[in-house]
Amino acid sequence: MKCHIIAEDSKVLAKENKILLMGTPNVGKSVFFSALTNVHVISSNYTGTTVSYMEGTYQVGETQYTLIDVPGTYSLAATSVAEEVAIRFMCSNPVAVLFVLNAADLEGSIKLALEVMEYNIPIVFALNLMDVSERKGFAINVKLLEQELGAPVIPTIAVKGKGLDEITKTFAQLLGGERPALSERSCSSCSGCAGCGVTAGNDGLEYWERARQIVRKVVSRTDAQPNFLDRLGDALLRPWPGLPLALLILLVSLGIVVGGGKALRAVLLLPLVNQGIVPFFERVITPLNLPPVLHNILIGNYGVLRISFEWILALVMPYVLLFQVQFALLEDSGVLPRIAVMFDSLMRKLGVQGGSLIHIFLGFGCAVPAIIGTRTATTHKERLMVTAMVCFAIPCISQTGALISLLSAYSVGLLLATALTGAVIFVTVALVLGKFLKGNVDPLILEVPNLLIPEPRAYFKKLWVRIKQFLVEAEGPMLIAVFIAAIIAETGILAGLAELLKPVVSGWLGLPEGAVMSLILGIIRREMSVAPLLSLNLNPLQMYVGAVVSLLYLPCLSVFGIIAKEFNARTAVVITVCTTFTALLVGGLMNHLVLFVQSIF
Amino acid sequence: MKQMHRRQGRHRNHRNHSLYTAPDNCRYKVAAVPDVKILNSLGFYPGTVIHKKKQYRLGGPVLICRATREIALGKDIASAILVEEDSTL
Repeated sequence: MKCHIIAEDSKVLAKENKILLMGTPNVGKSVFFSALTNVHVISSNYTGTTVSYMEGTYQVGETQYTLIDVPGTYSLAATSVAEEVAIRFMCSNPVAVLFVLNAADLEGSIKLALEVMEYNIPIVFALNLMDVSERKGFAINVKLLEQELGAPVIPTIAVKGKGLDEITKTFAQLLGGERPALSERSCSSCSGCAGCGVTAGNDGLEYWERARQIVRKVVSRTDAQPNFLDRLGDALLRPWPGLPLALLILLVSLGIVVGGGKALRAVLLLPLVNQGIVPFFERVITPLNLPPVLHNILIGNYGVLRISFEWILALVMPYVLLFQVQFALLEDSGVLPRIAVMFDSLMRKLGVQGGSLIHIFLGFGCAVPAIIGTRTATTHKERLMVTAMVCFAIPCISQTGALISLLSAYSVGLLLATALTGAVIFVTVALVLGKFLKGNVDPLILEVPNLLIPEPRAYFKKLWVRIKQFLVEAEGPMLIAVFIAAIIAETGILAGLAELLKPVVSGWLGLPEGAVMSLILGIIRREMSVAPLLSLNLNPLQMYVGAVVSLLYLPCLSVFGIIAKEFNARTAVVITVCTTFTALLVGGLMNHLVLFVQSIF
Repeated sequence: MKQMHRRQGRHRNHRNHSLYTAPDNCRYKVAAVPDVKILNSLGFYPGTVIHKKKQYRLGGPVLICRATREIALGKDIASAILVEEDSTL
């Protein structure tokens, strides 16, 4: 009999020597994974950070194992994609499981552990979040817990690296002796698992009962009083003072990103580029007496060596850097799920649920992780709605940075007007899709994590990973955009295109002909649709129209790719056509509306 | 089964209300849960003791504590969960 009906013939599933890293959501599995494998994965303080599995090499003694970071689940009942992934791995003959228990929420953890133990795979328990557990006044008898679970239990504080060596030592002992033969764990000796649908009629209640009994035996309460973080965590969940506090936190974050970015650009990066880097290249290239076209492509107005520094280094980088610094703090502290809870009623009226806010916040960084993150959504309609909302009206941080430079140079009011236009479109898209898309959106069910002070080690590691990711993934397309800009501007192609698109760009949108560059480069990356506007000496209305068009304009190539991958090519094309049409429609309408109002007064 | 009898026994003495309309800051025993698997995964069964911390206004969610886990449940799901007052204090 073939037991594992949902087992897939994928390379990872077929790998020998797998150790699975499992546990309930938001228990710190990814922190263990990063520390044990030196593969850096992103961890955050909310459920569902890891929506797919990750694999890395884990050295135990002389042997190399493949450690797999399985997405966190609350049960092994195959009720969600994450649970199906977990079951598939459990059924793929792993040599052992590293199960991470949450010391601050032992009952739910043990319940899942009992389910995992049904599979008869050697298991080691890490009792993580010991610091939070102590803070909350729990004293856990680890020896007794080991007896109850019948497997080694190691207390850990993973973000501080405590207890990690102990885990590797325990695995060395556990796996060092004779390896349990594969046949021992085959289907013939298995009493049934969720993988083959044989769960002995257990709907999980028995596991909960047993978990409760174990917790009663091993946990005692100390007289620890709730500390400042607990009280702040609670306060952030109450409308008063939680709502003003949340708004304050978001405003301060925005202030740091916008103010800090502007300062960094004005004080450090612009002088560096305009007085240092570009003049240097001019001095190097001019004496070479190159043909004029080549000279211009290198260092002309749209020359590669000029705009790659002006746009990428001075325009995009300061904002991206500060956004990541700030957003990682928000993610690791556990503030985001609290905001999601408080704004659930508002999001509900828009047709989605509070949990979607976390994806939308991610979208302010980049739409790609936001769209991948929507995998945690329980219905297709919710996924599609959030994806469309992000694609239409949420600017990524690179684009935000460029928009700030364009608009706030003239006035903050212009920036606010653009933001307001974006918000109106955001709400409209949500309401229209909510009404016309088939299916339904499930109500909010969200575990609220403990409020934590981000651990510097994990925090800086994450920051580094994110910035490296940006440099690797965004730099290429940005440079391609810069090259295209240089070539079409300096070879006369731009002038031809400008003539062709004149009725749209100048007639309908009221922008100068040169703005056609924005529409071309915007296909590649969103901030590249703003950057060319900076040097066109636009009037305030043109700035606003240009900003609105670029904000609503089509998602960049990477986003197109990820929508095609996560949904299908048709969805990607439909979203692209709709956003482009909306951008041109709204931009033109606003242009004519303002001109009309101006003509009256 | 034993639990079922106990539940029915209490049923006569106590009025069931939905978790959504039940007063804040009280302990409740779950009487009925809708057939949503994630609720079972999170430990909601008839008989489970929960603490309703807060109900958010304007159609907002309900914040509850189940053992040591804090969970927010949207209005629609909270309305479908029936609870009775917990007298096992």
